[in-house]
Amino acid sequence: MKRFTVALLCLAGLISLSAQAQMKPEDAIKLRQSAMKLIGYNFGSIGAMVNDKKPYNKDEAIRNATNIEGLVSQPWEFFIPGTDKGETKAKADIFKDADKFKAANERLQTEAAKLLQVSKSGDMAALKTQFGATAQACKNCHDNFREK
Amino acid sequence: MPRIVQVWDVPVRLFHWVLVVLVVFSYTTGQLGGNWLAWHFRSGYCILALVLFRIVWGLFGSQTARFSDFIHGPGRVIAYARSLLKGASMFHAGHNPMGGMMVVLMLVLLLVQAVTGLFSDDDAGTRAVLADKVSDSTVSLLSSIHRINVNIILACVVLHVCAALFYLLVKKDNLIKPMFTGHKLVPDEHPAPALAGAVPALIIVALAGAFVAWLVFVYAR
Repeated sequence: MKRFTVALLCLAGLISLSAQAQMKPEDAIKLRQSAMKLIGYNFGSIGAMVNDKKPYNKDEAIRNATNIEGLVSQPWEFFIPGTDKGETKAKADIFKDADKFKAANERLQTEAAKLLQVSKSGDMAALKTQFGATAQACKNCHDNFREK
Repeated sequence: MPRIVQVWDVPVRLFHWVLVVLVVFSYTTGQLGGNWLAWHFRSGYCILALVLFRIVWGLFGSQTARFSDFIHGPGRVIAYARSLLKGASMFHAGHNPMGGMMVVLMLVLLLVQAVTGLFSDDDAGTRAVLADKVSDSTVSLLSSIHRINVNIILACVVLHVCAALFYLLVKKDNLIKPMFTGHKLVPDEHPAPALAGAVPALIIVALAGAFVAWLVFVYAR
């Protein structure tokens, strides 16, 4: 049974690898950049609210946070080997230090989940604190894995 | 007989040490990111005002504060560098020719850093105050310059501190203490530098501060 599971996992891995291999590198770059832009748009909206650049609106904040929470795992699917070249700021370290890159992504997912939770509370001070923590998760990964 | 003479005026000394504090603070808050950026911005506005003041003070201030007193041609810089290595370096009441180059370099780098900062976006939810005034590609370019230039500033700070320590430990010439007290032991043949008053300095600081405040709180809105 255990052997069967291992075989199944290997098969699943192969299928996903071949699916990735079929994608053109420039398409992968475009897709992840689009996802990043959407995350940025929604996150910037919350940033503007908690920094008094636009009026705070609880429903809008929840909508933004929901979008972010749904999107944060998306770009990472498109960081396939070889896509650190071309129209991208992605560093080769993404593939050399894959564990660290994965941990950086997971940190963002954790923070984004908290952001969504806090946005629902309607507590703007708490939202601001969590905005900061989430921003630091973005920055952590940018600092390590993105060209300046 | 060498005598004790005031070579650095109060504005230059205050500028230097307030700048030290603000640069360290800006660097730290910039590295931390997130909600620390609100403080990073305030610190940057202060640095911009200070650098603008120092540029004007370099034109109209005390003798030792003026660019004309410490900007020299390459010939004199090289001659000074040679004398430094031989052990018998020429005396300068104010900045020596190499130190003068560092002053200019630092002012230019800090000005670039402060101005690019005003147009930056951290790509983590926070935009600087003038970012909406220019195109996205400009914001992206200036943000990159801001992120790269900080490392050049850091390298210059390290070099600057090492130079001060080199003078202190190798040349037995303490340049750090006069930057606190303003006073240096000056050989007889060197006249005391002419120092400007505090009132013009205060006026320039106020004008520089008002300009930055207008830029950030009025123009940016």
